Amino acid sequence: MATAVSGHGQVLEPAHDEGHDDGHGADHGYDPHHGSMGVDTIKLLMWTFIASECLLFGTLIASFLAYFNHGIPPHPHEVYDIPYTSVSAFVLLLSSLTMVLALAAVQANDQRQLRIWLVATALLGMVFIGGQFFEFTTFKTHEHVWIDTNQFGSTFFLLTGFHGAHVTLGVVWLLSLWMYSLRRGIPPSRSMFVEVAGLYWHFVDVVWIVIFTVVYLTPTALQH
Amino acid sequence: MADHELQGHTSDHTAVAEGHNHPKARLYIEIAVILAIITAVEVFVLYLPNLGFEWFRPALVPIFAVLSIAKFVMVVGWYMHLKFDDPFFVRMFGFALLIAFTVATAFIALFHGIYFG
Repeated sequence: MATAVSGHGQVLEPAHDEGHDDGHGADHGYDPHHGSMGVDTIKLLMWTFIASECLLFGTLIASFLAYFNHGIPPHPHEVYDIPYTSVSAFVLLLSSLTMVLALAAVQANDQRQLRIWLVATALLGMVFIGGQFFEFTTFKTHEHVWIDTNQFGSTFFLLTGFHGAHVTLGVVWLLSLWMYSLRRGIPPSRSMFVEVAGLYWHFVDVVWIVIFTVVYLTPTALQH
Repeated sequence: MADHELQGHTSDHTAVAEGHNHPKARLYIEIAVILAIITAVEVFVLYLPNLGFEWFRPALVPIFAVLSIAKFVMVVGWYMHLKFDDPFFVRMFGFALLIAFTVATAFIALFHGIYFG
């Protein structure tokens, strides 16, 4: 169904006519599918995915904690630049804010704000990835620690590499949403698609909160 | 009828149907500021032993744990809307966290002493 966009940047949809039954029992916007659990199935799918990702990152973090203090140098406290990494943490936290503002914008049917915040979130994600790339190259070229150097290197790069891959996929997702909003607009009835992308993005941020504390701060505090 | 009014009916219906009471943008910004402050405190606390407060070092890890849990709860509760969503999602996510934490703890326990030594 074609959607019209008003001059105020709002997506126009026909108001739901409760007196009309087209025989199929569905309106013409997004119909939240509430399954047998009584919750939206798309959101349920995303939370199930997030639950599985908890297990993935849990095991990667556990591997790091078990091995980071083993083997040949260098060890974490010898290579980390905590102030630099804390800037990355700020960037990702800021991107969570812009993501939730994008959700608020789509629920308010403000397409312009939606696009601004989606692009802002994607850009901040790219800044984070760039920072990670710089950190990785610094570790490799200046600190001489890479994925095959020692157990610290293996577990660190595996964990942060997986996280960076998730952020990259999230950036692609957000840019896809942004392009879709440019072409057709995303009405409030379809805000679930932005909300689901937001759930993924916030989870990526939450994982970084854990990584920053457990992988960066704690080993630095313990190894002196 | 104005465009936003034409759309307002559908959006209100959707919001009511979803059972959500979405926080305002201002609250999101306030939470972001709190998260930034907590992160700054974490970094500051990390360097306290280097500033002559060596006695503070044993307290670092518990402080990091508390602060990161606070950030975790705020992001999951407000940004991911778990505070306003169906309790089923809370149970699902909580159960996954419990399994992940249990597996991680068991794995580290297998290497008892390595982390702290």
